[in-house]
Amino acid sequence: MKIISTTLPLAGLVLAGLSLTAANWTSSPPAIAPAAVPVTYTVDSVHSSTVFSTTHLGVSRFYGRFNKVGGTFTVDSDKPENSKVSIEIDIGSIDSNHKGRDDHLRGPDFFDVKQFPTATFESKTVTKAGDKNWKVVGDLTLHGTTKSVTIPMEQTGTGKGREGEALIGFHGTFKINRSDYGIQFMKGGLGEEVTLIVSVEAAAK
Amino acid sequence: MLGPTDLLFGILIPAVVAGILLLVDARLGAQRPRVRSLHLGAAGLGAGYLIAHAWLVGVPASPFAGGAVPFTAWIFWMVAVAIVLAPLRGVPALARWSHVLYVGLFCVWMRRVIRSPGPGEGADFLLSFGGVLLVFVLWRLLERLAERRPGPSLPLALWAACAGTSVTLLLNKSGSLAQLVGAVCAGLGAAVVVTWIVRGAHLARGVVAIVAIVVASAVRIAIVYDLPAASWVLLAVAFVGPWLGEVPGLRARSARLAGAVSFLGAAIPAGAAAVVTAVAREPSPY
Repeated sequence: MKIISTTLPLAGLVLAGLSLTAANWTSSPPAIAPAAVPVTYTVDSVHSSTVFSTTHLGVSRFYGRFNKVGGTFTVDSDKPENSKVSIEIDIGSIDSNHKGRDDHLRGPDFFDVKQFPTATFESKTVTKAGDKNWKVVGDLTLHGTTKSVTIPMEQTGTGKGREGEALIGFHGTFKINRSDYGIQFMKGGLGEEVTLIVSVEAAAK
Repeated sequence: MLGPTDLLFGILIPAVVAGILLLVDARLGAQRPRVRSLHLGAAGLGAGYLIAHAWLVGVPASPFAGGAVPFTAWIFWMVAVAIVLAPLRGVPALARWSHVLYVGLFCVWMRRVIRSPGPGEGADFLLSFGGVLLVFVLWRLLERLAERRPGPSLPLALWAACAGTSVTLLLNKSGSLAQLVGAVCAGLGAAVVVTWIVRGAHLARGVVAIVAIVVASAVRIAIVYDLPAASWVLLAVAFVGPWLGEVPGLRARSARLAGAVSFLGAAIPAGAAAVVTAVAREPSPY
């Protein structure tokens, strides 16, 4: 009897504790509004994606990705013009799900990674285009050529990381013509227009 | 994958442009040494090459516009400069030094613009310097042979060496470089026809310059992208091969036999380079 009387309250406490823990795991982190002051974030390569796609033989749309992306964001919600975006992509980290093709894409027919190991994007102007939407205009340097591109970015969310650091996420899609960047090989086989999807998660420094 | 327009601009037009200028050189050069001293071969093969390059790879950015110029773009600019400077080689006042200066300029240029990471350091510098020296020697040897031997056997042997180079580059996953060397092959094909139909015609002066600049640069780029050492050594041997036709007594015995030996001297090592590259390549269904 004594055992039961002491065990039941203990079991209740354990259950209550478990349910509280479960509640902590299942509920999403509280949303954090972007700070009023400019905040600089560093891109988290592990939770960011840079995906490209183009047509193959005019038949299908093919997707590949660059596995290493880095850079920084400076976000100023009150004065968007003070915001900045700087992204660097390791072209050698290209992943098309086929090693032979990846080697070919790294070679002189396409990206020429020995001479041009990275692609960069540096913003020139950042403007707000809605509550969660931004318009980023900047210079994309790829294969030794720099061209101005406009990337409509959606702020996908904010939150806190494991160590309490502020997190922010952006997602943007834009298109380029590969011949503008001197990548012309297989004109008939591969599409001229390449769609780039940049989805980044960044943590405050 | 070459479409009909690629074949037109990458093969046919370079061959026609080269054919016209090489024919002018062969017809008029025999009577007027002044024409031959213009080194029209550089313009003939070079103009065709520039058209093919612009179509296949794109018109490259100017090196003076700022920013990095891709490796392949430098080939375009070197050929353009080679065409412009070629007639200077025929100026009598410069005759003594013009060949060494002209060939040396492009050899050093190749070393400067197409370099592996960490240039100028130890073994890498020695290898690059050795490469420059090798190209210089091969270039001058072929020019000497072009002066010495009339007829289609030399252009045919050079065509074989270039065709083998093109296939080797293709097998090394450098399709665009293979196409660029293919455009030179087209010009050499025209040279074979011209030297065959115009009796006693020599390979036009200046042709070897374009062959040397394009082939040496393309192979140098392929070396950066892991072309097996045995392959590029065999390709170098292929460009010495045409001299086998000059073995004493061979030409006196039979000009055709000498021509065949010259052709095989180029074709066998060039073919072997392609085989070595194919074997070294990782098996891939791609």
